[in-house]
Amino acid sequence: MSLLLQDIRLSLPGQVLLSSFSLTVAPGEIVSLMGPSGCGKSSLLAYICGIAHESLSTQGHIFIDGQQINGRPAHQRPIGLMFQDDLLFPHMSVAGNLAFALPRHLSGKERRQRVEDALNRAQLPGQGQARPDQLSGGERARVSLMRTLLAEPRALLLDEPFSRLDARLRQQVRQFVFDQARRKGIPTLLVTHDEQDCHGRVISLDTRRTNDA
Amino acid sequence: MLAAAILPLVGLTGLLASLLPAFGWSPVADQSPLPAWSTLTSLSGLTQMLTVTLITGLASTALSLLFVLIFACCCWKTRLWTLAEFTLPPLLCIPHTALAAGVSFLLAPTGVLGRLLAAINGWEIPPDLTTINDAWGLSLIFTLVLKEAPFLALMAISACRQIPVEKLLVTGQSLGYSPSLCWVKIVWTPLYRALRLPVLTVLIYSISVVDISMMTGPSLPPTLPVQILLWYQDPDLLYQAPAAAAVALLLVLSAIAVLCYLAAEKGVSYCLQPWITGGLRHLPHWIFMIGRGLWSGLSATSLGCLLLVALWSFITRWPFPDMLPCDWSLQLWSRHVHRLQTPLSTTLTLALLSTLAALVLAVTLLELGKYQTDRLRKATTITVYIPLLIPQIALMPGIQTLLISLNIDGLWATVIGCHLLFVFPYCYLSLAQSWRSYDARYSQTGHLLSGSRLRTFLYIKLPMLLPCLLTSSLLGASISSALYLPTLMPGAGRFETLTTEAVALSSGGSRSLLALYALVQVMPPLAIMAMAKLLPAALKRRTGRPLETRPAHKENAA
Repeated sequence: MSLLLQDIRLSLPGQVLLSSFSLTVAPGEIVSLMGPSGCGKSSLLAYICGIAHESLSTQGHIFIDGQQINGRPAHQRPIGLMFQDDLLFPHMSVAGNLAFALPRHLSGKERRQRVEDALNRAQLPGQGQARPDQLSGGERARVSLMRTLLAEPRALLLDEPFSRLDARLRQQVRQFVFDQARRKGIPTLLVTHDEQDCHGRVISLDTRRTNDA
Repeated sequence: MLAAAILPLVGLTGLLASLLPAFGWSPVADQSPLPAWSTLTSLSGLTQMLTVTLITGLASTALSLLFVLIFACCCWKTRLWTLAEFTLPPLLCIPHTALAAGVSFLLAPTGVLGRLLAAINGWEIPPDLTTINDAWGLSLIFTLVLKEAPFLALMAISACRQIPVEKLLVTGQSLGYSPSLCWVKIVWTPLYRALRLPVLTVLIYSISVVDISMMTGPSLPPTLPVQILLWYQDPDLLYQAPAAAAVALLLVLSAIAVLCYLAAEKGVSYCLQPWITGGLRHLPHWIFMIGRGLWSGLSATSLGCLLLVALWSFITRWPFPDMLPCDWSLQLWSRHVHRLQTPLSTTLTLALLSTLAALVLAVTLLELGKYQTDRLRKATTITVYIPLLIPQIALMPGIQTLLISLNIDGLWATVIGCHLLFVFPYCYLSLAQSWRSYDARYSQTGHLLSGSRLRTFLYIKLPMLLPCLLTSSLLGASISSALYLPTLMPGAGRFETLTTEAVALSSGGSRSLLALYALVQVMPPLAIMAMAKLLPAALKRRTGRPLETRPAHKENAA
């Protein structure tokens, strides 16, 4: 699995956000994008997922595992997405949320097994019937990540996913996310404006300087 | 505070007074000449009457809800959605009796549909079928769906502003679900929760509706609410006690309908759970295209019915198999223009005064609401809903009895008060949302600058909330101008509004005359709506253009 961005140019009317931007994220690698707000890092994520606003004009190529995905609608891109908010569906149980992400072809028994495994890995064994609002912030973030991973994404995009958590939880959840991504070998792109979140290769978008941490 | 308590209290007292004669106590006549329950149970066709009433209520509510589901899931981000946002508010202001008139022009054997079929099959005489006022209430269901689906759709549109629809859609898409299926599987449930109370009011309304039922519902036997009205209108007061017993029966029927509905809700959600989490991510596109087609068809039929109403008021002769009328003229208008004046001015006066009173009450209550606890506020919302959750035909007879025994029936103030009972809840509920989303810091700033609470309220808060006050007054006025029973019963027959005239004319033979009244009925709400649209713009011009704001797209993109 790998994520390849080639010659990307993003612009709004009267303003160029990014030009000739290229990046390769290797399997299991985590690359952090840093920059002040308005520098185009969230626009880049939206462009990769296919949910960019109409006013954004775009050029370039996105490859996942060697396949170009530019033309596909958002739901047909094999990309997992995590936001600041965990966005667990409040009207479903935790198990329901997890099962929602599973692929269709699995048997009932296997579905239950995978949900069970995901709960264990999120350190919430046997809590499947709980409602999302009964969980703490850290637990919700872990369930949200597990839900994203159950859909078997080929690349992972994180949009400031830790900014709503307090300092102690942040460290924990961050470690959890990175461990899981590395374990599954998923190329991961992280957008943040907090240096503490950065991990591995860091790309600073305002000066476009690349340094290895 | 007092109003919030008094209005539902009046409602409940009215309900009680409606029911008492069924149990042998009558405030008007000493002893009812006919026994309550045995007269009711020996009524011929009672079983069919009850079945049809229950089924029309449940079926029309379920179908309306289905149409809203179709609308929400198939039309999001399409032109149909934007179109609905613009066209539904005016469409809903149109009194339902006008719509019912249009439906009868469309569906009757000699209506437009019949003519189309005749042209295709070469018929010379209309088909011998009861297509309107049919015994099973199909035309009634048709009319109710045309009326209620747009109402629920508008409720859904405004509920969408409280639900993070976009975020849910993006999350669902990132898990591989197509946008339409995201709607069905994850957005609909929270949206439906916001729609539950409106759906229940629709259910109660459909089961107890009198005016539409008289125009397009079955006639022998009629639906239960119509039977109740017929009994109450008996000139010799013979049927007071049986009517009261029938009111009790209608309440039981409403309760059964609500229980059926809640059970169906539980069952459907239980059965769908495995499907929702089952991983199905796409449905063929054509399913959603069909959905869009169905919704467009519904909107087009609604509009078509209203066009028919407008058309018929200019037609003097249109013999059966012809596709086009042969005589057009303004004759009817010129002949009836002076007769329209009284009902028109009565309608407008009632609408304006009751809406004004409702707005003053609602604003006062909402301003006091700031000092309430959350629990008290929730209780207020529920009490406000009470008059909407009790069938009008169960409330009004009792209120009429009370008014007669106090000797204050047939007065302007009385009729306005009765209108207020139904106008106030809608005004309050439509204002409550905007009032709650108002940023109190504007008022705090204003208070610090001016030093006066009253001035802050008058010069800061009211102008900022003016658009929603106007929308709410539009809603109030259109509700008031469509009220039938609350005009008829406390008015002692002295108040002729466009609605009471239209219902009275619907049993008469002249389509043109009915169309004329129905069309004039549409005018006051439309005039008020034009005002509601134009007034804020005019005021803005007077106070000058707002300061140019910084372009926002940069922020949005980042």
